[in-house]
Amino acid sequence: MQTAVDSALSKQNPFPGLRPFREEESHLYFGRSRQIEEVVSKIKENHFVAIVGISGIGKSSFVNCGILPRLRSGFPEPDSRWTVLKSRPGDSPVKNVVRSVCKAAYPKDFSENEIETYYQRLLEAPGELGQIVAEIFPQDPNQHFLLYIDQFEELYRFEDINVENQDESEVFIRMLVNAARQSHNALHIAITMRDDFVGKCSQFPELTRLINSSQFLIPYMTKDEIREAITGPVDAFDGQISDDLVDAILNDAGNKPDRLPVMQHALMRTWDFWQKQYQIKPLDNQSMDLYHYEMIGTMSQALSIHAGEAYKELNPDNQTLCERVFRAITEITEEGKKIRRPTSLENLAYIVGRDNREVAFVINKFRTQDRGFLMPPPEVEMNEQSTIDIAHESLIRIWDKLQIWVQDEEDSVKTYRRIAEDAEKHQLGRASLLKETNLGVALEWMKLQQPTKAWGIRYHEDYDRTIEYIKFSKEEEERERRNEEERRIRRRKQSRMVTIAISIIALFAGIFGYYAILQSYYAEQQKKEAEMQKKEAETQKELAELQADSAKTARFIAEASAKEALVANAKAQREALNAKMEKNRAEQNAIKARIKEKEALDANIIAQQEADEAELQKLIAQEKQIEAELSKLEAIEANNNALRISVLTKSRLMAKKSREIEDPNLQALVAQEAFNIHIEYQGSYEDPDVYSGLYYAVRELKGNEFNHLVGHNSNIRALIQANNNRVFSGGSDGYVHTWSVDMGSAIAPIDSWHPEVTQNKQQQQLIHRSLALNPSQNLLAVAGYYAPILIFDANNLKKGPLGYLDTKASQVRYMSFVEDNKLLSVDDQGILRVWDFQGTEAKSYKNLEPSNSSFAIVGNEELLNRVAVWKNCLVFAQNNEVKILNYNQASSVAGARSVFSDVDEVRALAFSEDGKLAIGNVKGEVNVFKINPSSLTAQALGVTLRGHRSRIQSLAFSPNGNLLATGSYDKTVRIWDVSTKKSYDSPPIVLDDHKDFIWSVVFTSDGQHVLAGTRDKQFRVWPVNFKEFGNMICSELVKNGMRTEMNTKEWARFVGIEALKRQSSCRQVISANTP
Amino acid sequence: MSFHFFTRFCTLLFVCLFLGNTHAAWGQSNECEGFLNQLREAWRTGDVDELGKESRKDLANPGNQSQLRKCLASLKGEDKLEAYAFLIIFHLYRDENRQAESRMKDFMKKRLQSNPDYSPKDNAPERDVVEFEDLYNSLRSWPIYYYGLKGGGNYSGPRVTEEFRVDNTAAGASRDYKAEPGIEIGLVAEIPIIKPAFKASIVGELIYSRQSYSFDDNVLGFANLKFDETQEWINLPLLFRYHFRRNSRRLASGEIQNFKNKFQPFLQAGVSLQYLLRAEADLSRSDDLGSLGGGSEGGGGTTRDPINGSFKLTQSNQRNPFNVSAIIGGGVRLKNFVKSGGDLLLEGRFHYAILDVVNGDERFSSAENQQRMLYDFGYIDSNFKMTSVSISLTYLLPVYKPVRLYDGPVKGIPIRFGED
Repeated sequence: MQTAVDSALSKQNPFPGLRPFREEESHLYFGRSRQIEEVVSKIKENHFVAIVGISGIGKSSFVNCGILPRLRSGFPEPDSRWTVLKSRPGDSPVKNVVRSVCKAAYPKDFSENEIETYYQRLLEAPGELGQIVAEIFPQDPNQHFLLYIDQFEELYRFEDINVENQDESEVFIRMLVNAARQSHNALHIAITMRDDFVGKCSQFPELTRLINSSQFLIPYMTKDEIREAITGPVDAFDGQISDDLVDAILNDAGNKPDRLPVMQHALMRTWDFWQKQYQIKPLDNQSMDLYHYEMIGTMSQALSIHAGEAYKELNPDNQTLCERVFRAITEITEEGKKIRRPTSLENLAYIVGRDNREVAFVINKFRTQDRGFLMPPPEVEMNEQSTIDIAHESLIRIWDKLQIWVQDEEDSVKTYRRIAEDAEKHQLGRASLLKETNLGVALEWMKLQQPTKAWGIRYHEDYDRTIEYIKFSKEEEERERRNEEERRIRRRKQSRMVTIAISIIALFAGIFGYYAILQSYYAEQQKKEAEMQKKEAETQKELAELQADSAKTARFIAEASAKEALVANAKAQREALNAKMEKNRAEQNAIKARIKEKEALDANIIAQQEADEAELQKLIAQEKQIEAELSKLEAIEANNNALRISVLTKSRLMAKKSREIEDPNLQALVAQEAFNIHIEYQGSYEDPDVYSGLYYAVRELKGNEFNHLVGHNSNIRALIQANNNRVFSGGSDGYVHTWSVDMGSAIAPIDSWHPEVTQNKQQQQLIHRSLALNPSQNLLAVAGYYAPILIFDANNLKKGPLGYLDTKASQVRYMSFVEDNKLLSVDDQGILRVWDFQGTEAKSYKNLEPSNSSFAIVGNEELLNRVAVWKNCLVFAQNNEVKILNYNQASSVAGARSVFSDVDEVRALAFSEDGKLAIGNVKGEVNVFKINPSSLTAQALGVTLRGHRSRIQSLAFSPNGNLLATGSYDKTVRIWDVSTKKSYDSPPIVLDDHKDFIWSVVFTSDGQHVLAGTRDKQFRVWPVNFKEFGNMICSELVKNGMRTEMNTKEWARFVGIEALKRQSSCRQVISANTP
Repeated sequence: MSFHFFTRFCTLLFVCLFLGNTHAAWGQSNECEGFLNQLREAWRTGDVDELGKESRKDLANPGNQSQLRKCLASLKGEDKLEAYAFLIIFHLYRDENRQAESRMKDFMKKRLQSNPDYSPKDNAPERDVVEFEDLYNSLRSWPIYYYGLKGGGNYSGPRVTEEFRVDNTAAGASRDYKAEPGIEIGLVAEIPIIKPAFKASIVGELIYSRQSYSFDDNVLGFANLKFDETQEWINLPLLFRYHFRRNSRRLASGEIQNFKNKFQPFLQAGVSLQYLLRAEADLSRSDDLGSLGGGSEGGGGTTRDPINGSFKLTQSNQRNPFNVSAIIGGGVRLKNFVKSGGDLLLEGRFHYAILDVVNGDERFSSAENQQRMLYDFGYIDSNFKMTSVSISLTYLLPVYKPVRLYDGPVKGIPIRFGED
């Protein structure tokens, strides 16, 4: 007997553990011999079989050790030869099939190129698999092939991580169906699949038919079969196992679904343990017995203990990492099932936020020869692309630690999603920041989960926003807490001081109180004495009073007669007064009558105005209807251009997608390619999506400062354009700057002025809010929250003001030069002044008086929102109303006529050089009119421009009047095409990289750039069309030695239009630069 | 009487300190629950106009109880101030300067009450809004006057200018005068005069004080006289006070550094007009004839029962009712001693009377009082002036009135104009 044990020891373990049996282990495979024939006959008949069974029933083992050996043993003819092409769908099912074919044909030398070629061929013609196999392998009538697809359900399991490979799944199925149908060739197909995925196959009717025609549902093993599966391998290895143990195992296995893998694992462990025991203490006649089985923890514990051993080998840091890795490769389905979630090593590393090497180290601990908890198996070398997967789902169900981890992960995901939803609501203004308990939960979650972006995006796309939301909530809470703490300390300090003060006062009070009591005691005694004296005095007093009474009587008689005289006098006066009042009343009535007369007259005029207005509205409505019909016609024409439109749509999508890519090189390539195909298919040069894709790509490449004008540190409230692409700016920080606008890197002003102002020993700002430049561009007027208008030499600001105009107002709101030496100003009282300094020395400006035509354009208490001047027209906004006036002729506001009555308060006005007037309101809407300067009338152009979500603060036309830039408090600038009536409908370019309100916008003199002055410190310049960005990207990529072309996979993923072949994304630039 | 006054003073102090902080908690309304968040959201999204318009409407109709006003009233403490700051900014950004200024005045009154050291650079949302700061700086942000209560004690005694006695004054023996403690209590008003640094101030007070002194004397070698006088005065001091505090200074970087000066020593000097309400003297005489007893004519023994008397000196015109004192003193001022912005002053003063208290014309009058004092007790008034030292605690509350100091930073701006 001893020899038998020795010989068993010399061999390896006969039980595979969690992994399935391999083909070479078929001599150890017992228990399913009767079912093999049935399957083999199905293969022969249908060239196809689907082997279906629940998880853990041994599908793979059944094929490996049942079907394959049977085929190879001479089936159907004794001289038949079988080549098995084994594959799994994985993340590219078709490619994996091609790979297995190549591997079988040339086990050593096959190139990736070859695989790629066949792969592309199959993608285009899925029916050619049989042909390809025939091409690769030498012709031989006895040669048969079995394409064995294991884990067919991966096709569905990987769905969510392979969104762009959805199409490939379809190709794969078509390929299988075609191959199975071509019964004349030598190719046979076997697939194994979990029963719970069978339903999903019905999405593909052909596949369903195929499965229905040849399916084999693996039955549960009977008790006897299991007994055979236990004792068979033991016998084959000359081992011994006691009957008690076999019974115990059979008993433990019961009818649980996972019993087979778990049993195999327990047996493997028992065998190992038995062998180790034997080496330590050889005994006669020792067989594997209950003792050994119990020592390894029986079926219920063996897996946990075994996996736990691997876990314990890790240091604490790696244990944490291990937990995160396992959490990342498992999940709970909507139905509450805990399942595997295969993930590539690279992704895994991203998700857990460590580098590949560290993650691989942990994974390797779990995939050694004797463990095999994780796939790929130890003999396969692991690389970045390797899919990491749990060997068998039973591990999730049985390993206690993993169960907890999976649940934790689920809870964590739920928490994360909830916060992400709150963050979204918060952004929409429907929820407040996280507070108290919720914030506590979120912070605790952050601490425990330590989420990475890759992890977050898996469960909710707006990861960054969510994390920002938590952080912001935390800062707010901390700030609140700090304030509260300060308040508490202050209160405590105060109460202490008050207590001290009160104590001191109380002490004083006590001392003086005692003293006072003493005093009052003395006083009491004196009072008694005084009373005695008082009595005597009273007697004397009574006597005196008697004498006084007689004198009083005499006086009273005299007074009575005087009063009578007074009464008579008063009567006379009252009568005079009554007469006067009567007269007044009559006068009042006359005045009232006159007022009524005037009111009636006014009402008449208003009615007339309303009728005019209604007529106008009707005309506008008609015009709109015609416009709508026109655009309908245009739409029909566009329809003919379907391909072009679909490519253009795709280019926009690409541009949008590019913003989500983290690798700056790839982001740039995708944005650039979007631009290329957009231009190639005659897209607009002002497409907003392509624009913003390019902008963010450039910003990523060149850094945040690339379009930054550095020089202001507060609200930039006024911008004005000058020739040679110069721009003047004035801000709340007191600075006036001159800029020479360029783009590509941060620029500094070329000239500046900033006064030092101190009031009441406090540093004070001069807040500038209006700039004006005369037509010769040699004088710059600056005004703001101060009385004087400062006049500068526009070419030398540093020198300081040449002189100033004394407006005697407290602020000047608006200025404009109407001639070289004539300046128009409107102050905060609404008073319009015209200053003519022809022939006046700069130093004497302060003595200038405005011309006689000064008058108030709004009443004293009324609001003047905005003013704009063009030629002889002065336009001003008062509440919702925009009015126009010929300021050359008018001497009061009476001549003003209404241009437009907006639905809401008007906040911005701007003229173009050709007389277009833009009007922006607090709701973010803009209307454009054409002004006729001689008749002072306005004609509406195009539709209302909508899109801004808050007040329009600033408007600017490009020099040719075709583009309109609108700056809003919603922190964006939009550039609209207002060249034709139709163009109003095209979407604007949105410049959204500002952190705060937009105060001012201006175009440069060449019309190529827009400057946006904001409240934050990022004063930016933006190109009007995106060609400039396009050039920038490629030169930057070439300069930095980065890729200028996408690889096939990236091309397929981001471009993916059949009509477009892959090429360099910098093709235009390169062709332009190459002689 | 004085004890009662003290308890009332303490109660008043309590009311000032504590009720001031809690009254705002009453009357929260549900409709206004999200009001502050609404303001914050408007500021975040740039939608400043809607609430700005409402606020303008509210200001235009001071008689109507608008929803906005209700909501402002429902907020308290820092929340209320934050809401005001938002409305001010909204008005500024809507070019409604008058409305902004009106809200700013309310804001400053509340703000400076709870934090007299406030600066617009400290708090959100106004922290980075230059327009806000500009408006703030153009309004007066320091108190126009302080008012408050004071209480303390004194130690007073006569400074004799001419001695009168029954004995020969040249003989050398003199009265052994003793200063006695007294109390004082009153109302205080203080007006800062060097602004805005506020180093100096004029202080006016209305003080009731009670002063005493006593002496023992031996008259003619056998009568032991005990004399004890108490005077009650109404004082009207007018003082100039100068505080020692660190001035704000300009740093090398060009910024101006301000100091909080929580603890300020001060010196003061001035005059006090005084009116004597009451003066009373308690006299007691006990004779010890000793060696003289044997040969005396009316002698019955060596001792006699002591006699006592109390005399109202003001009634008998023995005292001058009006007086003037010079005062010098010093102390420390604890700035913003409590949250509501009050200052606590601990000071000491020396009062030096300029006029004599005794009415010399009545010294030898034949009135009953004088006759009794002379013949029964052997007492004659000497000429003297009252001198005293006092220590007191003062609690002062500031009153703010933010008015416009100048029309924007115009006048006096050092703008350098270009060369001719």
